Amino acid sequence: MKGRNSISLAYALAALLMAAPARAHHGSAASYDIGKQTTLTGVVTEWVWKNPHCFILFDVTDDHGTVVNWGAETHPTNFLVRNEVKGVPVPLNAASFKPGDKVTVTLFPSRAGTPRGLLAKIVAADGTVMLDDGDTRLNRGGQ
Amino acid sequence: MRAAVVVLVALLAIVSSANAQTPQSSKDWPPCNRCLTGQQERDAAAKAKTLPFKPRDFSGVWGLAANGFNLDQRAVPPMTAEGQARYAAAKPGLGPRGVPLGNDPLMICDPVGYPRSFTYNYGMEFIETPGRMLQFFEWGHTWRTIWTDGRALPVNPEPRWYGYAIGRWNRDTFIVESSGYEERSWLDQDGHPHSDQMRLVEQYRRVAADAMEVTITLTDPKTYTAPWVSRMTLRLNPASEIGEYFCVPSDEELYKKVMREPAGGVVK
Repeated sequence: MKGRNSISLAYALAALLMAAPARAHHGSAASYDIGKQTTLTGVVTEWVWKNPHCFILFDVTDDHGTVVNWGAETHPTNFLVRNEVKGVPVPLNAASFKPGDKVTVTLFPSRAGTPRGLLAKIVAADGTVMLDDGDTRLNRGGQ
Repeated sequence: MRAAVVVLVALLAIVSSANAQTPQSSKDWPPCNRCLTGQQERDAAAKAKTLPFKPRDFSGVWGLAANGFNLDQRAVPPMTAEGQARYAAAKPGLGPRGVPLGNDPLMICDPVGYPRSFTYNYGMEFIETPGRMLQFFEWGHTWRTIWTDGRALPVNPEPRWYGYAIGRWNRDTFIVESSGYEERSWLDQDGHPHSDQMRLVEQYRRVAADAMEVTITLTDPKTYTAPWVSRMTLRLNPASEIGEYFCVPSDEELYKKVMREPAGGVVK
C-alpha cells in the first residue's frame, strides 16, 4: 500500500511538472505580452514550416490603406503535425496556408511594439479554426 | 491439494506477467511518428496503464514535450563564486529570468548536451544491446551510450557534450554514473551552469507499465557547494516513435532575422 501511495504521489508530481516549460525555447517567450491579445485580419504572404518555430507572415491593411506585414510564431513542426482544436484533429503541414489566403489571426503582441506576435488562434477564410491554443499558452505563462 | 492448485495458479500468473509484452511500438498501435490524434494517444496511454510489465524492460519512448520537466528548481544548491558568475552571465529567453533575445546556447544550435537533453525531452527512447544501454533523443536526433560491459569511467576523459557514462543494475534499478562533460551546455532553461567537473548519478526504476521513477544526483564542486538532487517520473508514450528535431543553422538564422529579433525590438 505504501508503494502504491508513493506511485500515486509520483503521478501527481508528474502531472504538476507537466506544466513546466517545454516549448518556445528559442529566446522568444519573454518578448511577448501574454496579458494582451490582438486580433487581425490579413492576407498570407508566407507560411514558414521550419524549426525552431513555424511562423506565418501576413499583410494587414488599415483604414488608410497602409499595409503592414505582421508575423506570428507558433510551435515546432513536430507538434503541429498532431495539432487539434478542442479535440478535433487539425494536423498542420507545409501546405496549410498559401500566399493569398485570407486569415484572421489572434496573437500575443510583441512587448517592443513591433508587428510580431505569439500565435494564439488562426481562422481560415471559410471559418475553419486551424489552431487555437491561446489558453494553453496562457496556462504555461506564454511558453 | 487445494493449496497446491492455488500455488500453481499463482506461479502461472507470475510467469504470464513476466512474459507479457511491454507496450512499446507497432505491435499494439500504428507505427507512425506522431500521426495519432490526441484522443488516440490518450486511449493508448490509458491502455498502457493496465498492462503488465517487466521491471528491467525500459524499451519504448519515454516523455514528450507535453511531459516536459526539469531539474528540481527548488533544490538548487548554493553556487560557488564561479557558478554565480556563470549563472549571472546566462540570459534565458523564458522563465522567471527570461529576457527578450537572451543567449541560450540553443539559439545558435549548440548541442543541447546532457542532462538537458533528458529533462527537456522532446522524446527519449531506451534501446538495450549487449554491453550498452542507448538513449535516443528526438532533439538533435542524437544518442547517448551508457556502457554496461563492466568498464570503469575514464580517469581524464575528453570533455563531451553527452559525457561518458557507465551503467549497472542493482536489483531492478538501473544506475548510471557519468562524467567528462563539456561545460558550455546549460543544465536547464533557466541557464544553470555546470563545469567539466560535473558528475551525475542517475537511478531509473520502472514502477508501472507506463511510469518510470528517475533520480538525478548532480555533483560539481566548481559550480555548486552541495549535490543537486532531482526526482521525476517519466511516462511511457506507447503510441509514439522518436521523431526528428534538428536545430538547423540556416533555419535558425531565418527565424532569428524574421521573428526573434523583430519581436525583441531589434530593428535593422
